[in-house]
Amino acid sequence: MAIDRTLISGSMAMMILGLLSEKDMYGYEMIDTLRQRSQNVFELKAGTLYPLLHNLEEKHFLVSYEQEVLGKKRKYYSITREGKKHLERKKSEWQEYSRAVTHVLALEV
Amino acid sequence: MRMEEYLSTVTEQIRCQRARELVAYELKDHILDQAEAYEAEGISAEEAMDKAVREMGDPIETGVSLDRIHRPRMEKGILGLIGIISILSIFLHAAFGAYSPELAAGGIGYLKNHIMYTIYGYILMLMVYRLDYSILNRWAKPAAAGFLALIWIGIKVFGISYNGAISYIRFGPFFLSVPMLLYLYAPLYAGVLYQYRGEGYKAFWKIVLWSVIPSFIALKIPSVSVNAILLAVFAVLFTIAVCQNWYQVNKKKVLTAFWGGMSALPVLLLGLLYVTGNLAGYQAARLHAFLTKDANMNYQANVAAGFLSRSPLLGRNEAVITELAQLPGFNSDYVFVSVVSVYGILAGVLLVALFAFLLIKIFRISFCQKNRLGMILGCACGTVFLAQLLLCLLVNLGLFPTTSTSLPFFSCGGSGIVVSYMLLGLVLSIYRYKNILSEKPETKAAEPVS
Repeated sequence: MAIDRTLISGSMAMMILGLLSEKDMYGYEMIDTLRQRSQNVFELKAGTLYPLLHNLEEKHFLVSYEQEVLGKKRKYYSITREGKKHLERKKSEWQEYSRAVTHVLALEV
Repeated sequence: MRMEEYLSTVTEQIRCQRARELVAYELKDHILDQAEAYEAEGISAEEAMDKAVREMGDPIETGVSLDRIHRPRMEKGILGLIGIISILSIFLHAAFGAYSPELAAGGIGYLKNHIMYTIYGYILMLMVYRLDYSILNRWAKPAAAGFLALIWIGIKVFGISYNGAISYIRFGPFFLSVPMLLYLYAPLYAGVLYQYRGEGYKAFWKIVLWSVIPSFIALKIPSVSVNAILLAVFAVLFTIAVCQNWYQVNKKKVLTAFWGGMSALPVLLLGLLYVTGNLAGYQAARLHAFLTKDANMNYQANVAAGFLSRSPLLGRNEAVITELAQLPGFNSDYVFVSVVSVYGILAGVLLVALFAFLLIKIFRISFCQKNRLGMILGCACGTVFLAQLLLCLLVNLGLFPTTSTSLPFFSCGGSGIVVSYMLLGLVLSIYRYKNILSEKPETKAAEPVS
Protein backbone atom coordinates (compact mmCIF):
# COMPACT_ATOMS: atom_id res chain seq x y z
CA MET A 1 0.00 0.00 0.00
CA ALA A 2 1.58 3.28 -1.06
CA ILE A 3 0.78 6.05 1.39
CA ASP A 4 2.19 9.52 1.69
CA ARG A 5 5.43 9.37 3.70
CA THR A 6 4.73 12.16 6.16
CA LEU A 7 1.37 10.64 6.94
CA ILE A 8 3.11 7.34 7.65
CA SER A 9 5.83 8.70 9.91
CA GLY A 10 3.39 10.89 11.84
CA SER A 11 0.92 8.10 12.44
CA MET A 12 3.71 5.59 13.01
CA ALA A 13 5.04 7.68 15.89
CA MET A 14 1.53 7.76 17.30
CA MET A 15 1.15 3.99 17.00
CA ILE A 16 4.52 3.35 18.60
CA LEU A 17 3.62 5.61 21.52
CA GLY A 18 0.26 3.84 21.71
CA LEU A 19 1.92 0.42 21.91
CA LEU A 20 4.34 1.60 24.57
CA SER A 21 1.57 3.14 26.66
CA GLU A 22 0.41 -0.42 27.30
CA LYS A 23 3.77 -1.83 28.32
CA ASP A 24 7.52 -1.43 27.81
CA MET A 25 8.79 -3.21 24.72
CA TYR A 26 11.96 -3.74 22.74
CA GLY A 27 12.24 -3.01 19.04
CA TYR A 28 11.57 -6.42 17.60
CA GLU A 29 8.60 -6.91 19.92
CA MET A 30 7.05 -3.68 18.63
CA ILE A 31 7.32 -4.70 14.99
CA ASP A 32 5.91 -8.11 15.75
CA THR A 33 2.98 -6.73 17.75
CA LEU A 34 2.22 -4.08 15.14
CA ARG A 35 2.22 -6.68 12.38
CA GLN A 36 -0.18 -8.94 14.26
CA ARG A 37 -2.56 -6.20 15.34
CA SER A 38 -2.82 -4.50 11.98
CA GLN A 39 -3.33 -7.85 10.23
CA ASN A 40 -0.15 -7.33 8.22
CA VAL A 41 -1.21 -3.91 6.90
CA PHE A 42 1.64 -2.22 8.72
CA GLU A 43 4.80 -3.97 7.72
CA LEU A 44 7.08 -1.55 9.50
CA LYS A 45 10.69 -1.98 8.44
CA ALA A 46 13.14 -2.10 11.32
CA GLY A 47 15.26 0.38 9.40
CA THR A 48 12.44 2.89 9.82
CA LEU A 49 11.59 1.93 13.39
CA TYR A 50 14.93 2.62 15.06
CA PRO A 51 15.46 6.16 13.75
CA LEU A 52 11.88 6.83 14.84
CA LEU A 53 12.50 5.43 18.32
CA HIS A 54 15.73 7.39 18.73
CA ASN A 55 13.98 10.51 17.58
CA LEU A 56 11.14 10.07 20.07
CA GLU A 57 13.72 9.45 22.76
CA GLU A 58 15.54 12.64 21.93
CA LYS A 59 12.26 14.52 22.29
CA HIS A 60 11.91 12.94 25.75
CA PHE A 61 8.74 11.09 24.77
CA LEU A 62 10.50 7.79 25.44
CA VAL A 63 13.29 6.54 27.64
CA SER A 64 15.26 3.36 27.13
CA TYR A 65 16.91 0.97 29.52
CA GLU A 66 18.71 -2.34 29.39
CA GLN A 67 17.19 -5.44 30.84
CA GLU A 68 18.17 -9.06 30.73
CA VAL A 69 15.43 -11.45 29.67
CA LEU A 70 16.10 -15.18 29.30
CA GLY A 71 19.83 -14.58 29.18
CA LYS A 72 19.55 -11.93 26.47
CA LYS A 73 20.21 -8.24 27.00
CA ARG A 74 17.42 -6.18 25.53
CA LYS A 75 17.03 -2.48 25.05
CA TYR A 76 13.56 -1.68 26.26
CA TYR A 77 11.69 1.51 25.54
CA SER A 78 9.26 3.06 27.96
CA ILE A 79 6.87 5.99 27.44
CA THR A 80 7.35 9.09 29.58
CA ARG A 81 4.71 11.38 31.03
CA GLU A 82 5.53 13.86 28.29
CA GLY A 83 5.12 11.09 25.73
CA LYS A 84 1.70 10.19 27.09
CA LYS A 85 0.60 13.81 26.83
CA HIS A 86 1.86 13.95 23.27
CA LEU A 87 0.00 10.74 22.45
CA GLU A 88 -3.28 12.15 23.80
CA ARG A 89 -2.85 15.26 21.68
CA LYS A 90 -2.07 13.22 18.57
CA LYS A 91 -5.00 10.89 19.22
CA SER A 92 -7.54 13.69 19.40
CA GLU A 93 -6.03 15.31 16.29
CA TRP A 94 -6.32 12.00 14.52
CA GLN A 95 -9.93 11.47 15.57
CA GLU A 96 -10.87 14.91 14.39
CA TYR A 97 -9.12 14.33 11.10
CA SER A 98 -10.65 10.92 10.46
CA ARG A 99 -14.12 12.19 11.43
CA ALA A 100 -13.74 15.00 8.94
CA VAL A 101 -12.61 12.63 6.21
CA THR A 102 -15.55 10.31 6.91
CA HIS A 103 -17.97 13.22 6.79
CA VAL A 104 -16.62 14.48 3.50
CA LEU A 105 -16.74 11.06 1.93
CA ALA A 106 -20.23 10.40 3.26
CA LEU A 107 -21.43 13.62 1.68
CA GLU A 108 -20.00 12.69 -1.65
CA VAL A 109 -21.33 9.18 -1.73
CA MET B 1 23.48 -8.82 1.84
CA ARG B 2 25.14 -10.19 4.95
CA MET B 3 24.52 -8.81 8.40
CA GLU B 4 28.02 -7.34 8.77
CA GLU B 5 27.68 -5.64 5.41
CA TYR B 6 24.31 -4.20 6.36
CA LEU B 7 25.57 -2.89 9.69
CA SER B 8 28.69 -1.34 8.24
CA THR B 9 26.65 0.38 5.51
CA VAL B 10 24.31 1.84 8.14
CA THR B 11 27.09 3.00 10.43
CA GLU B 12 29.13 4.48 7.60
CA GLN B 13 26.34 7.02 7.12
CA ILE B 14 26.77 8.21 10.69
CA ARG B 15 29.48 10.84 10.73
CA CYS B 16 30.02 10.80 14.45
CA GLN B 17 32.35 7.89 15.11
CA ARG B 18 31.38 7.50 18.74
CA ALA B 19 27.67 7.06 17.96
CA ARG B 20 28.21 4.07 15.67
CA GLU B 21 28.68 1.48 18.37
CA LEU B 22 25.47 2.55 20.09
CA VAL B 23 23.45 2.07 16.91
CA ALA B 24 25.08 -1.09 15.57
CA TYR B 25 24.52 -3.08 18.71
CA GLU B 26 20.79 -2.46 18.77
CA LEU B 27 20.30 -3.21 15.06
CA LYS B 28 22.35 -6.38 15.34
CA ASP B 29 20.16 -7.65 18.17
CA HIS B 30 17.11 -6.98 16.05
CA ILE B 31 18.43 -8.93 13.06
CA LEU B 32 19.33 -11.87 15.29
CA ASP B 33 15.85 -11.87 16.86
CA GLN B 34 14.19 -11.74 13.47
CA ALA B 35 16.38 -14.52 12.08
CA GLU B 36 15.59 -16.67 15.07
CA ALA B 37 11.86 -16.12 14.50
CA TYR B 38 12.18 -17.17 10.85
CA GLU B 39 14.17 -20.22 11.83
CA ALA B 40 11.40 -21.18 14.23
CA GLU B 41 9.05 -21.08 11.25
CA GLY B 42 11.18 -23.78 9.65
CA ILE B 43 13.45 -21.82 7.33
CA SER B 44 17.12 -22.84 7.11
CA ALA B 45 19.55 -20.80 9.24
CA GLU B 46 21.26 -19.17 6.29
CA GLU B 47 18.06 -18.26 4.52
CA ALA B 48 16.54 -16.94 7.76
CA MET B 49 19.49 -14.62 8.27
CA ASP B 50 19.27 -13.44 4.68
CA LYS B 51 15.59 -12.72 4.98
CA ALA B 52 16.05 -10.96 8.30
CA VAL B 53 18.63 -8.59 6.83
CA ARG B 54 16.44 -7.87 3.80
CA GLU B 55 13.55 -7.18 6.16
CA MET B 56 15.55 -4.31 7.69
CA GLY B 57 15.13 -2.12 4.62
CA ASP B 58 17.54 0.22 2.92
CA PRO B 59 20.68 0.61 5.07
CA ILE B 60 21.61 3.97 3.55
CA GLU B 61 18.23 5.51 4.27
CA THR B 62 18.32 4.21 7.84
CA GLY B 63 21.90 5.39 8.34
CA VAL B 64 21.12 8.86 7.07
CA SER B 65 18.12 9.26 9.39
CA LEU B 66 20.20 8.04 12.32
CA ASP B 67 23.01 10.42 11.43
CA ARG B 68 20.57 13.30 11.74
CA ILE B 69 19.79 12.31 15.33
CA HIS B 70 23.17 11.18 16.59
CA ARG B 71 25.43 14.10 15.95
CA PRO B 72 27.40 16.31 18.28
CA ARG B 73 25.28 19.16 19.56
CA MET B 74 26.24 22.63 20.64
CA GLU B 75 24.14 24.16 23.37
CA LYS B 76 23.57 27.55 21.79
CA GLY B 77 21.63 28.95 24.74
CA ILE B 78 24.56 28.57 27.09
CA LEU B 79 26.97 29.86 24.48
CA GLY B 80 24.83 32.98 24.06
CA LEU B 81 24.57 33.48 27.81
CA ILE B 82 28.30 33.13 28.33
CA GLY B 83 28.89 35.59 25.49
CA ILE B 84 26.76 38.18 27.32
CA ILE B 85 28.53 37.42 30.60
CA SER B 86 32.00 37.79 29.05
CA ILE B 87 31.15 41.12 27.43
CA LEU B 88 29.61 42.50 30.64
CA SER B 89 32.64 41.33 32.59
CA ILE B 90 35.06 43.05 30.18
CA PHE B 91 33.08 46.30 30.28
CA LEU B 92 33.00 46.16 34.05
CA HIS B 93 36.75 45.70 34.34
CA ALA B 94 37.35 48.45 31.78
CA ALA B 95 35.39 50.72 34.14
CA PHE B 96 37.21 49.42 37.23
CA GLY B 97 40.55 50.06 35.53
CA ALA B 98 39.56 53.68 35.11
CA TYR B 99 37.98 54.17 38.57
CA SER B 100 40.90 53.02 40.65
CA PRO B 101 43.90 55.39 40.64
CA GLU B 102 46.19 52.48 41.32
CA LEU B 103 44.91 50.45 38.36
CA ALA B 104 44.64 53.51 36.12
CA ALA B 105 48.33 54.18 36.73
CA GLY B 106 49.13 50.95 34.92
CA GLY B 107 47.46 52.22 31.75
CA ILE B 108 45.38 49.68 29.88
CA GLY B 109 47.49 46.79 31.17
CA TYR B 110 44.83 45.80 33.70
CA LEU B 111 42.07 45.55 31.12
CA LYS B 112 44.39 43.88 28.64
CA ASN B 113 45.13 41.17 31.20
CA HIS B 114 41.45 40.61 31.87
CA ILE B 115 40.74 40.28 28.16
CA MET B 116 43.68 37.90 27.76
CA TYR B 117 42.39 35.70 30.59
CA THR B 118 38.96 35.64 28.97
CA ILE B 119 40.52 34.57 25.67
CA TYR B 120 42.53 31.83 27.41
CA GLY B 121 39.27 30.84 29.09
CA TYR B 122 37.47 30.49 25.75
CA ILE B 123 40.31 28.45 24.26
CA LEU B 124 40.32 26.06 27.21
CA MET B 125 36.51 25.94 27.26
CA LEU B 126 36.46 24.82 23.63
CA MET B 127 39.21 22.29 24.30
CA VAL B 128 37.26 20.78 27.19
CA TYR B 129 34.12 20.88 25.02
CA ARG B 130 35.85 18.70 22.41
CA LEU B 131 37.09 16.35 25.10
CA ASP B 132 35.27 13.08 25.43
CA TYR B 133 34.35 13.08 29.10
CA SER B 134 33.68 9.33 29.11
CA ILE B 135 37.39 8.69 29.75
CA LEU B 136 36.50 9.38 33.37
CA ASN B 137 34.49 6.15 33.24
CA ARG B 138 37.70 4.32 33.86
CA TRP B 139 40.17 7.03 34.84
CA ALA B 140 38.32 9.11 37.44
CA LYS B 141 40.26 7.74 40.42
CA PRO B 142 43.77 7.98 38.93
CA ALA B 143 42.89 11.40 37.50
CA ALA B 144 41.59 12.69 40.84
CA ALA B 145 44.56 11.27 42.75
CA GLY B 146 47.02 12.63 40.20
CA PHE B 147 45.38 16.03 40.31
CA LEU B 148 45.62 16.24 44.10
CA ALA B 149 49.23 15.02 44.02
CA LEU B 150 50.13 17.69 41.46
CA ILE B 151 48.52 20.41 43.57
CA TRP B 152 50.34 19.15 46.65
CA ILE B 153 53.71 19.07 44.87
CA GLY B 154 52.92 22.46 43.37
CA ILE B 155 52.31 23.93 46.81
CA LYS B 156 55.40 22.30 48.33
CA VAL B 157 57.83 23.06 45.49
CA PHE B 158 56.50 26.08 43.61
CA GLY B 159 54.21 27.54 46.26
CA ILE B 160 54.35 31.27 46.76
CA SER B 161 53.42 32.65 50.11
CA TYR B 162 51.28 35.76 50.03
CA ASN B 163 49.95 37.35 53.20
CA GLY B 164 50.80 34.17 55.09
CA ALA B 165 48.81 31.90 52.79
CA ILE B 166 50.23 29.75 50.03
CA SER B 167 47.70 30.91 47.51
CA TYR B 168 49.74 30.63 44.34
CA ILE B 169 51.78 28.09 42.48
CA ARG B 170 54.38 29.59 40.22
CA PHE B 171 54.50 27.83 36.91
CA GLY B 172 56.88 29.57 34.54
CA PRO B 173 55.47 33.01 33.92
CA PHE B 174 52.07 32.01 35.32
CA PHE B 175 50.86 32.35 38.87
CA LEU B 176 48.13 29.80 39.40
CA SER B 177 45.72 30.37 42.24
CA VAL B 178 45.47 27.20 44.34
CA PRO B 179 41.94 27.84 45.65
CA MET B 180 40.67 28.27 42.09
CA LEU B 181 42.49 25.19 40.81
CA LEU B 182 40.91 23.15 43.58
CA TYR B 183 37.46 23.78 42.05
CA LEU B 184 38.54 21.65 39.10
CA TYR B 185 38.61 18.73 41.52
CA ALA B 186 34.79 18.79 41.76
CA PRO B 187 34.10 17.03 38.43
CA LEU B 188 36.86 14.51 39.16
CA TYR B 189 35.23 13.82 42.51
CA ALA B 190 31.92 13.31 40.69
CA GLY B 191 33.64 10.74 38.47
CA VAL B 192 34.95 8.96 41.56
CA LEU B 193 31.42 8.79 43.03
CA TYR B 194 30.27 7.27 39.74
CA GLN B 195 33.01 4.65 39.83
CA TYR B 196 32.00 3.49 43.31
CA ARG B 197 28.40 2.71 42.35
CA GLY B 198 27.22 -0.74 43.24
CA GLU B 199 29.68 -1.05 46.11
CA GLY B 200 27.20 -0.45 48.93
CA TYR B 201 28.09 0.88 52.36
CA LYS B 202 31.74 -0.06 52.05
CA ALA B 203 32.18 2.63 49.37
CA PHE B 204 31.35 5.29 51.96
CA TRP B 205 34.59 5.37 53.89
CA LYS B 206 36.51 5.59 50.62
CA ILE B 207 34.32 8.48 49.54
CA VAL B 208 35.06 10.17 52.86
CA LEU B 209 38.76 9.83 52.09
CA TRP B 210 38.34 11.38 48.64
CA SER B 211 36.55 14.29 50.35
CA VAL B 212 38.91 14.79 53.27
CA ILE B 213 42.16 15.00 51.31
CA PRO B 214 41.28 18.06 49.18
CA SER B 215 39.68 19.60 52.25
CA PHE B 216 42.98 19.08 54.08
CA ILE B 217 44.84 20.78 51.22
CA ALA B 218 42.41 23.70 51.35
CA LEU B 219 43.02 24.04 55.08
CA LYS B 220 46.76 23.92 54.51
CA ILE B 221 46.65 26.94 52.19
CA PRO B 222 44.75 27.98 54.39
CA SER B 223 41.45 28.87 52.80
CA VAL B 224 38.33 28.32 54.87
CA SER B 225 36.05 29.55 52.10
CA VAL B 226 37.33 27.11 49.47
CA ASN B 227 37.11 24.37 52.03
CA ALA B 228 33.51 25.25 52.79
CA ILE B 229 32.59 25.40 49.11
CA LEU B 230 34.29 22.11 48.31
CA LEU B 231 32.64 20.30 51.21
CA ALA B 232 29.24 21.72 50.24
CA VAL B 233 29.75 20.57 46.65
CA PHE B 234 30.85 17.10 47.79
CA ALA B 235 27.81 16.85 50.06
CA VAL B 236 25.39 17.77 47.25
CA LEU B 237 27.00 15.37 44.78
CA PHE B 238 27.01 12.56 47.32
CA THR B 239 23.31 13.20 47.98
CA ILE B 240 22.53 13.03 44.27
CA ALA B 241 24.49 9.78 43.97
CA VAL B 242 22.62 8.24 46.90
CA CYS B 243 19.25 9.44 45.54
CA GLN B 244 20.09 7.79 42.22
CA ASN B 245 20.50 4.57 44.18
CA TRP B 246 24.10 4.09 43.03
CA TYR B 247 25.09 2.44 46.28
CA GLN B 248 21.91 0.43 46.85
CA VAL B 249 21.56 1.54 50.45
CA ASN B 250 18.62 2.75 52.50
CA LYS B 251 18.44 6.24 51.02
CA LYS B 252 16.33 7.81 53.73
CA LYS B 253 18.45 6.58 56.63
CA VAL B 254 21.76 7.42 54.98
CA LEU B 255 20.73 10.91 53.94
CA THR B 256 19.15 11.79 57.29
CA ALA B 257 22.28 10.69 59.13
CA PHE B 258 24.54 12.38 56.60
CA TRP B 259 22.84 15.77 56.58
CA GLY B 260 22.31 15.68 60.32
CA GLY B 261 26.03 15.18 60.81
CA MET B 262 26.96 17.66 58.10
CA SER B 263 24.91 20.52 59.53
CA ALA B 264 26.14 19.97 63.06
CA LEU B 265 29.80 19.57 62.12
CA PRO B 266 30.90 23.06 61.03
CA VAL B 267 29.05 24.81 63.82
CA LEU B 268 30.49 22.42 66.35
CA LEU B 269 34.01 22.62 64.97
CA LEU B 270 34.09 26.38 64.60
CA GLY B 271 32.54 26.90 68.01
CA LEU B 272 35.05 24.57 69.64
CA LEU B 273 37.99 26.24 67.93
CA TYR B 274 36.71 29.69 68.84
CA VAL B 275 36.12 28.81 72.47
CA THR B 276 39.40 26.96 72.97
CA GLY B 277 41.31 29.69 71.16
CA ASN B 278 42.66 27.33 68.53
CA LEU B 279 41.67 29.48 65.57
CA ALA B 280 44.42 31.44 63.86
CA GLY B 281 44.48 35.01 65.11
CA TYR B 282 42.93 36.59 62.05
CA GLN B 283 40.24 33.92 61.81
CA ALA B 284 39.11 34.49 65.37
CA ALA B 285 39.20 38.23 64.78
CA ARG B 286 37.03 37.93 61.66
CA LEU B 287 34.51 35.79 63.47
CA HIS B 288 34.52 38.06 66.49
CA ALA B 289 34.11 41.11 64.28
CA PHE B 290 31.19 39.54 62.49
CA LEU B 291 29.47 38.48 65.69
CA THR B 292 29.95 41.77 67.50
CA LYS B 293 29.67 44.06 64.45
CA ASP B 294 32.83 45.74 65.66
CA ALA B 295 33.36 48.70 63.34
CA ASN B 296 37.13 48.83 63.73
CA MET B 297 37.72 45.17 63.18
CA ASN B 298 35.60 44.64 60.13
CA TYR B 299 36.87 47.29 57.75
CA GLN B 300 36.01 45.64 54.42
CA ALA B 301 32.52 44.65 55.43
CA ASN B 302 31.82 48.12 56.81
CA VAL B 303 33.00 49.93 53.70
CA ALA B 304 30.96 47.48 51.60
CA ALA B 305 27.85 48.08 53.73
CA GLY B 306 28.43 51.83 53.45
CA PHE B 307 28.58 51.64 49.67
CA LEU B 308 25.51 49.46 49.48
CA SER B 309 23.48 51.86 51.56
CA ARG B 310 24.15 54.56 48.98
CA SER B 311 23.20 52.44 45.96
CA PRO B 312 20.92 54.08 43.43
CA LEU B 313 18.11 52.05 41.90
CA LEU B 314 19.73 52.38 38.52
CA GLY B 315 22.38 54.57 36.96
CA ARG B 316 25.97 55.66 37.59
CA ASN B 317 26.74 56.66 41.12
CA GLU B 318 29.58 59.19 40.62
CA ALA B 319 30.08 59.67 44.35
CA VAL B 320 30.92 56.03 44.95
CA ILE B 321 33.07 55.72 41.80
CA THR B 322 35.77 57.98 43.22
CA GLU B 323 35.83 56.08 46.52
CA LEU B 324 35.56 52.60 45.09
CA ALA B 325 39.26 51.82 45.45
CA GLN B 326 38.95 52.28 49.23
CA LEU B 327 37.25 48.90 49.34
CA PRO B 328 39.95 46.22 49.20
CA GLY B 329 38.85 43.57 46.74
CA PHE B 330 36.34 45.86 45.01
CA ASN B 331 37.13 44.12 41.72
CA SER B 332 37.38 40.58 43.12
CA ASP B 333 35.78 39.54 46.43
CA TYR B 334 33.43 42.53 46.48
CA VAL B 335 32.69 42.75 42.79
CA PHE B 336 28.97 42.43 43.48
CA VAL B 337 29.02 45.37 45.90
CA SER B 338 30.85 47.41 43.27
CA VAL B 339 28.26 46.63 40.61
CA VAL B 340 25.32 47.44 42.88
CA SER B 341 26.74 50.59 44.43
CA VAL B 342 27.98 52.05 41.15
CA TYR B 343 25.38 50.87 38.65
CA GLY B 344 22.41 50.42 40.92
CA ILE B 345 20.32 47.73 42.55
CA LEU B 346 18.68 46.72 39.28
CA ALA B 347 22.10 46.01 37.75
CA GLY B 348 22.79 43.68 40.68
CA VAL B 349 19.44 41.97 40.22
CA LEU B 350 20.18 41.53 36.53
CA LEU B 351 23.54 39.99 37.34
CA VAL B 352 21.96 37.49 39.74
CA ALA B 353 19.23 36.76 37.19
CA LEU B 354 21.87 35.99 34.54
CA PHE B 355 23.50 33.51 36.90
CA ALA B 356 20.17 31.99 37.84
CA PHE B 357 19.40 31.50 34.17
CA LEU B 358 22.81 29.93 33.52
CA LEU B 359 22.46 27.60 36.51
CA ILE B 360 18.96 26.49 35.51
CA LYS B 361 20.29 25.65 32.05
CA ILE B 362 23.25 23.73 33.47
CA PHE B 363 21.12 21.66 35.84
CA ARG B 364 18.47 21.03 33.21
CA ILE B 365 21.11 19.72 30.80
CA SER B 366 22.56 17.56 33.55
CA PHE B 367 19.33 16.00 34.72
CA CYS B 368 18.13 15.37 31.15
CA GLN B 369 21.23 13.26 30.61
CA LYS B 370 20.81 9.58 30.02
CA ASN B 371 24.46 8.96 30.62
CA ARG B 372 24.71 9.04 34.41
CA LEU B 373 28.37 9.97 34.41
CA GLY B 374 27.45 13.00 32.30
CA MET B 375 24.64 13.81 34.71
CA ILE B 376 26.85 13.87 37.80
CA LEU B 377 29.67 15.76 36.03
CA GLY B 378 27.23 18.45 34.94
CA CYS B 379 25.87 18.67 38.47
CA ALA B 380 29.43 19.04 39.78
CA CYS B 381 30.05 22.08 37.57
CA GLY B 382 26.66 23.59 38.37
CA THR B 383 27.12 23.11 42.11
CA VAL B 384 30.56 24.75 42.09
CA PHE B 385 29.08 27.82 40.38
CA LEU B 386 26.07 27.84 42.68
CA ALA B 387 28.20 27.57 45.85
CA GLN B 388 30.59 30.30 44.68
CA LEU B 389 27.67 32.56 43.80
CA LEU B 390 25.90 32.02 47.13
CA LEU B 391 29.01 32.57 49.25
CA CYS B 392 29.92 35.65 47.25
CA LEU B 393 26.44 37.15 47.68
CA LEU B 394 26.34 36.34 51.41
CA VAL B 395 29.72 37.95 52.08
CA ASN B 396 28.97 40.92 49.86
CA LEU B 397 25.67 41.58 51.57
CA GLY B 398 27.31 41.25 54.99
CA LEU B 399 25.36 38.14 55.92
CA PHE B 400 28.51 36.06 56.39
CA PRO B 401 31.90 36.80 57.98
CA THR B 402 34.44 38.30 55.61
CA THR B 403 36.26 35.61 53.72
CA SER B 404 37.80 35.46 50.27
CA THR B 405 35.14 34.85 47.65
CA SER B 406 34.91 35.10 43.94
CA LEU B 407 32.10 35.53 41.49
CA PRO B 408 32.64 33.14 38.56
CA PHE B 409 33.50 34.93 35.28
CA PHE B 410 33.48 38.34 37.01
CA SER B 411 36.01 38.52 39.82
CA CYS B 412 39.41 39.54 38.56
CA GLY B 413 42.19 36.97 38.50
CA GLY B 414 43.31 34.74 35.65
CA SER B 415 42.98 31.37 37.36
CA GLY B 416 39.43 31.97 38.54
CA ILE B 417 38.30 33.12 35.12
CA VAL B 418 39.98 30.29 33.24
CA VAL B 419 38.69 27.64 35.68
CA SER B 420 35.12 28.96 35.33
CA TYR B 421 35.28 28.69 31.55
CA MET B 422 36.75 25.20 31.79
CA LEU B 423 33.92 24.01 34.01
CA LEU B 424 31.42 25.46 31.57
CA GLY B 425 33.26 23.71 28.74
CA LEU B 426 32.59 20.44 30.53
CA VAL B 427 28.86 21.20 30.61
CA LEU B 428 28.95 21.91 26.87
CA SER B 429 30.79 18.63 26.33
CA ILE B 430 28.06 16.75 28.17
CA TYR B 431 25.44 18.33 25.93
CA ARG B 432 27.58 17.63 22.88
CA TYR B 433 27.61 13.91 23.53
CA LYS B 434 24.06 13.56 24.81
CA ASN B 435 22.84 11.47 21.86
CA ILE B 436 26.14 9.79 21.28
CA LEU B 437 27.61 8.26 24.38
CA SER B 438 25.78 5.28 25.70
CA GLU B 439 26.70 3.77 28.98
CA LYS B 440 28.16 0.33 28.73
CA PRO B 441 25.18 -2.00 28.96
CA GLU B 442 24.52 -2.66 32.56
CA THR B 443 21.72 -4.91 33.67
CA LYS B 444 19.16 -2.96 35.54
CA ALA B 445 16.15 -3.72 37.62
CA ALA B 446 12.83 -3.48 35.81
CA GLU B 447 12.29 0.16 36.75
CA PRO B 448 13.09 2.52 33.89
CA VAL B 449 15.08 5.67 34.50
CA SER B 450 12.88 8.64 33.90
